[in-house]
Amino acid sequence: MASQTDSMDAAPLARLIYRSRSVLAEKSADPDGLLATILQHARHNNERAGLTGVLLFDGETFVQALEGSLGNIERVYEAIACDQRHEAIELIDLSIVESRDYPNWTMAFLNTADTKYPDLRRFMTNPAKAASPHLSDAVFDLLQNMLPVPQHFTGGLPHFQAMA
Amino acid sequence: MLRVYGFIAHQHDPLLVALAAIIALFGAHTAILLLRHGDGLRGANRRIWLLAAAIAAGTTTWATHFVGMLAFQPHIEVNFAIGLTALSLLVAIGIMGTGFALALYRPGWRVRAAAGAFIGLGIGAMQYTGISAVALQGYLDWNPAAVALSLLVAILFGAMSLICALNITVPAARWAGPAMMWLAICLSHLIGMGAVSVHSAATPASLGQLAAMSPHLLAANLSILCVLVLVISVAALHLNRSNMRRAEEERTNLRDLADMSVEGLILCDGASVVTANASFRQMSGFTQDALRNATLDFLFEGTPAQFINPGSYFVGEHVVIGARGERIPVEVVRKSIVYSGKPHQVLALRDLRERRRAEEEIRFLAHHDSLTGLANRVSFGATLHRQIQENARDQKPFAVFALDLDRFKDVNDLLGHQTGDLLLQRVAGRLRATVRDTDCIARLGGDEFAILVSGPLTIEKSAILADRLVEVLSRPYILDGKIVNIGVSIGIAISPQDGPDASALMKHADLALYRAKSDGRNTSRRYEASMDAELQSRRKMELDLRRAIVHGHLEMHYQPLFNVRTQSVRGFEALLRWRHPIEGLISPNDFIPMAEETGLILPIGEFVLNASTREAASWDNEISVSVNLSAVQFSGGKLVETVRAALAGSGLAPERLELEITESVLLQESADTLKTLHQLRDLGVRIAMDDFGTGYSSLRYLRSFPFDRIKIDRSFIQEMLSNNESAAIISAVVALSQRLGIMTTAEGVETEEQMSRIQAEGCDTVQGFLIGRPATPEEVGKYLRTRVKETA
Repeated sequence: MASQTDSMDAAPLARLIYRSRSVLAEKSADPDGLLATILQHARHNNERAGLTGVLLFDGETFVQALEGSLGNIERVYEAIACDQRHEAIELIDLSIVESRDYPNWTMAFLNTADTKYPDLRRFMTNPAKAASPHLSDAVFDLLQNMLPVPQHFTGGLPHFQAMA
Repeated sequence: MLRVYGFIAHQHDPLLVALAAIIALFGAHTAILLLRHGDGLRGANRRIWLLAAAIAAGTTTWATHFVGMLAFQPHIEVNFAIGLTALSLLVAIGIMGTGFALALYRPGWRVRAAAGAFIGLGIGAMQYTGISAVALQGYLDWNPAAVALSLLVAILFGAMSLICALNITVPAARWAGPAMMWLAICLSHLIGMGAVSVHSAATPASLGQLAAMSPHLLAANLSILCVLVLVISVAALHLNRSNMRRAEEERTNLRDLADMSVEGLILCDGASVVTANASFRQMSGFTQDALRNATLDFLFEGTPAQFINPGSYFVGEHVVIGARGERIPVEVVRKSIVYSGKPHQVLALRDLRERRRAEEEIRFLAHHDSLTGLANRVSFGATLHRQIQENARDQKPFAVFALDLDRFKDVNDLLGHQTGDLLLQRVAGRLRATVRDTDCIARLGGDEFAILVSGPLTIEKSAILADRLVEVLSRPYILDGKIVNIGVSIGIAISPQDGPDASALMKHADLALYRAKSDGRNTSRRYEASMDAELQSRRKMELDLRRAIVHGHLEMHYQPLFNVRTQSVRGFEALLRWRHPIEGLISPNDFIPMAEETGLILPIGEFVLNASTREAASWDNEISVSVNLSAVQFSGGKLVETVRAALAGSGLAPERLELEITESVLLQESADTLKTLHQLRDLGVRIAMDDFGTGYSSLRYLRSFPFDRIKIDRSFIQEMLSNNESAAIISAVVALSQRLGIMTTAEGVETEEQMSRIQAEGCDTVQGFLIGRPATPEEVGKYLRTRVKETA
């Protein structure tokens, strides 16, 4: 469905994955509330920019995948890069893709501190592994496994961790 | 009434009665016409027409009366005393004029009624003065009731006459006014005449002494006078009417012209607006109705007293408050003119909004960097200056950050200026997002930025902010789909302790920036006083080095390269020495980095090439010379030409020259560098890789250019006996070189053990203190001569 609309866009479809360290706890007495606000804001902006994606967070590290037109990704990324609520941003991958992996989420959120996802948790906290060239694939695989995409369903899934 | 009727029918000449009535009619009509005309005018014009109306009314009333009296035929001889006759005329004109003036100058129907009544009274007064002028052989008998009635009628109709005459709203009043006036004159006369009985007397009362006129002469005179007055009045009226029409046309033309004017025009009487042209209405948004009777205070901001003060011409800038309350800057030219006989002011207003916008834009452009929208160097300097002055009062410490992007040049070179510009814009955005709105960010030029971090600020806070800036600016950039990583170095100067004025603060922030860069970049440093001393000594050294180049304080020393296989010296490496007149010999390590930084390396490099090739040309044919090149020489663009000229100047065979480069030359691996290397090889010279193993991923460079020689860094040689890894690396490099057909030189060989081990590994050439220290050209020449003797 989304791939059809994407194919009508002249701009190529791209996906960006970055990782960063949260400083939410330093910025706010209510980091969860702040994160909820950020997510809400991100979803609103992404919807307008035609971006979809997923945000993984384990309490310390963010990993975010953003997909959409390259121009919009660039614009939204620059806003992310100006944000003082995280630091040590690393770009893990930026590539042209055939189709969206998360066509139905303006920004899915997954709390990887949840013990249900030990692999993902290890991945989030292991910088050596994150720096490996296979990381993109690893993230894709993990996300794909964690987040099966129901074409008819745009809400959260049962295992989809809602914000605290 | 019977008495009146009888009076008209039996004692009057009907023709003369009719003439009197007609004169009265024309007079009334003309007088009212003139009066109405005068009512529309002001000043002297009004006075003239008022006088004309008074004369017309007075004369005709007077004439009516006398013609009426001539029509009276009392069957006795009647004459008129000239003095009283004339007096009655003056009375008529005077009273009429006074009444008219009252009606014109004071508004309100009551005043007009009073004025009209006064005129009616005047008619009566004139009439009875006129009757007194009658000189006849008999005496007059008065009927007081009839006299009173005649006066009452005159007053009543006179009052109604003026009420109607000056009423412009009711159309019927146009003819009602003259009609009432006519009735006032005629009825008053008839009733007045009826009040008089004439009795014959035996002796005419001193008729002989009185200057008198015969009735017929008087009638003729009166008629001529009336016609004259009326004709002149009517002619003048028409003339004036046509003048006014023409004036009206001219006014219309003028208004059209005024409306066509681009500038706003306001006509004012004192401080109140009379009218304004279309341009002004459009500019201000006011309608003509809203402008009429508006005051200048209402239209302009502040009290524009100059607009009203006398003086013919005034230019100034003021602000109009528009209909929507907006402030409109205008340039005002004022001129005093006479309009409708009164001095008025014309204000010509030029709308300055467009100009102000343009000026604002120019000002913005003059104070901002057009690429990023940040402040530019000039306005940053001004802001800094202002901040220092403010701080002289409130003593809040603030900081100046000098920022320089790391690797920006690479982005520009590799990805193009467009991407470079985009990067600068992104950097500007991140700076804005990181500092407070009150801080002033400027782009000083190129990739140099500066921030005035407003106080109060502690040293710790400024360091935290600098760290955050380094962190945020070092985050990756995505520029047109390409990922770019840069860094930033920041120098910090804090006011007031780090400098008393703007230039000192800027200079010190720059010094700290220099330190941040030399400490490895992507970091921040605060200014320290010792940096000044360092700068001084660096500057002194630069100056000394420039002198050294000119005065020949630079000299070449040569260190032998020993061919292991032939067991003989195969060449020398040219080594630069600076013989400072005071400080003695200075090592290249101490001044080459500075020479590279300042660009002095280019003339120095040229000197080295020329001196070395010239010296080598004097050596035996099989002895070569090696010359070190700096990466900076490659970016100069003239290297190939310099080498060619050195070879041509010295006559040295190109194959006897070996050029040594370090990995730093290849670090950028740009097409230009490789092209230069190939051009050098095409000259016939050989290329060696110096200090091999100390840099980066060296093997890649071996693939990118076919080197003639590898010089293994001295650190490996020094460790080879104690450290297996170093020994293994040497073996591997030598083996690799042999496979690639590249010669190897071992640097820094100092002991016999090292020598034999190197020999065993298979190095072609060794260099080091064991073989020979760097020597002067004289020593080299002496050595070569003795060697020749020995071999000979």
